[in-house]
Amino acid sequence: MTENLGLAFDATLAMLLVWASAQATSRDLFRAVVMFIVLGLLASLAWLRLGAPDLAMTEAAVGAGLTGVLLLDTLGRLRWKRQKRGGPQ
Amino acid sequence: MTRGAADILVSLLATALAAGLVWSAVHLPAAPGLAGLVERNLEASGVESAVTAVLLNFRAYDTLLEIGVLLLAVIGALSLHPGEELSPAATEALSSGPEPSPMLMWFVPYMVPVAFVIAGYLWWAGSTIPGGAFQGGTVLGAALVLLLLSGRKFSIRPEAVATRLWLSGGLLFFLAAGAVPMVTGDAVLQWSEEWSGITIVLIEAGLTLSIGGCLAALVVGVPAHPPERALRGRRP
Repeated sequence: MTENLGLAFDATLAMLLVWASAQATSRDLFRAVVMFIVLGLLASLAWLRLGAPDLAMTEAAVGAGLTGVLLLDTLGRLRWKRQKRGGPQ
Repeated sequence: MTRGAADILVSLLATALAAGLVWSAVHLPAAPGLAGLVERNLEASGVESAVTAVLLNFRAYDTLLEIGVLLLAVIGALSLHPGEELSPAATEALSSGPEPSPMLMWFVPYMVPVAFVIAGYLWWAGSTIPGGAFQGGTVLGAALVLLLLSGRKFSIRPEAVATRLWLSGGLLFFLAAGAVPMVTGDAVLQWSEEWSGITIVLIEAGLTLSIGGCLAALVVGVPAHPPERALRGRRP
């Protein structure tokens, strides 16, 4: 029973990973960044399921958290620059 | 070749590549890997966590170069700083956006001390269970960013000597500690069994502090609103 539950969880996780990586290539940059963060958190779960808690922690903290913050920050700056130029957005 | 035909060709090639990768992954010969080797020598490493033993002892140079790369990235970001007279935005960092929300102002004083404790715990736990300098440093960095976001009296001034020592301290201490074994004729980074435990814990402490600072500096390194002249210089 527990094994089947684990298998079902892993299968769902795998599908979600594929879905999130497809979404992370979205043309809407904000959406892409958010989905990248989601992808990082899902990957962190995957590392946990593979028995690598160290990697899971680093993935969540650096892969999803820090990289996400940097990407969002970059996005904000790009938007500010575009406004300054009077371009779109 | 039309667009549609090119798409089909590319997807066929990608499918073939994926199939090849899956095939080779399935047919990989069963290799014992290095887990056994690490396990047998774990006692000599000075720590109980296999991952920390590899990162800070058996493959310490890897971690040394990693923190070096991080420091280089921070230097790169800070070198984009505009000139001597700092714009207010550089010191106010992310608070140059909308006013910090009351929620943030209420939340930060409670959250930051907790985050500091968690960072310390992760550093300390790293020698026995999953954890360590990078995880602890990231939590510390997140706490510092929260502090900066809430616009409290805290800023990272790249021109201050203390800041530079803080950001580079982890690498400098790592290098100094790595040179010590040379005194007794051992190789660089080859900790003596007797001292390896305390050496690793101290290096990780330095790394945690520096990584936290570096990550926060990366987030706020360049002012969000560069002064006019910095922008003008880049325009044709």
